[in-house]
Amino acid sequence: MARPIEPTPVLKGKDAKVFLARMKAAVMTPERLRWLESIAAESKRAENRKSTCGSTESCR
Amino acid sequence: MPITLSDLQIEEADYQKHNIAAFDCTDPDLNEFLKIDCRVYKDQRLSHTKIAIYTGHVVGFIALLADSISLIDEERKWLILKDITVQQVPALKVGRLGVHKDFHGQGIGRALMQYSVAVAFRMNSELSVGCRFITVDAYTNSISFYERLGFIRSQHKVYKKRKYPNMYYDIVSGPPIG
Repeated sequence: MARPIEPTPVLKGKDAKVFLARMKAAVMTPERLRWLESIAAESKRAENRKSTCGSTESCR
Repeated sequence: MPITLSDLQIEEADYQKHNIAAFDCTDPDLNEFLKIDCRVYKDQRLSHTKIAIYTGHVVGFIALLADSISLIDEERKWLILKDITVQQVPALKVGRLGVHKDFHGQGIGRALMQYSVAVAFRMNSELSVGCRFITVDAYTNSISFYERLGFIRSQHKVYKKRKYPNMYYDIVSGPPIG
């Protein structure tokens, strides 16, 4: 068995303050939204791409 | 030229279809996760493992699951965010990430992390499920890789002592991965 997936620790102290300060300062810019939309579209293409499985020993 | 997401096929790990037994990323834990554990995680709805295929080869995998980042009560005074109180922030966790040893250093890990950001964004835009961060428990030798992508490592001594330090990436403000 591989090691378990560990729980994400609770943030506290300075880490929590830094985390929230970053969240407060973050703004979804139009450029950012365009980038996210472009990788979302790319991820869907990757999921829908015609499978090449069967062409090598990696895929049966 | 690095391999990018646009060069990859992403498919759910399938023991009938993919020759997972032949996969080797040199790390015994990651190999074992893919070859044995990931199907149990899937059956139990604990995580889903996606396989990356490049020119017919299984070149990497990524296991994804729902997560959250919580803040302790003492910090509640800091939890006011744009007039709302937040105690827990939804996230997508990268439970495991592995790249076949023959394809190390060719951009596949980066492409799979870009894929994880895309999935987190799609949770919001397509499923109307809030998801703000990507989290990962990094292997010590992978910390610099995640830092280069814009992941932030918790600095508290409790976290730094962990064998696999937790890191997070904001899909709103983290640097673009590409």
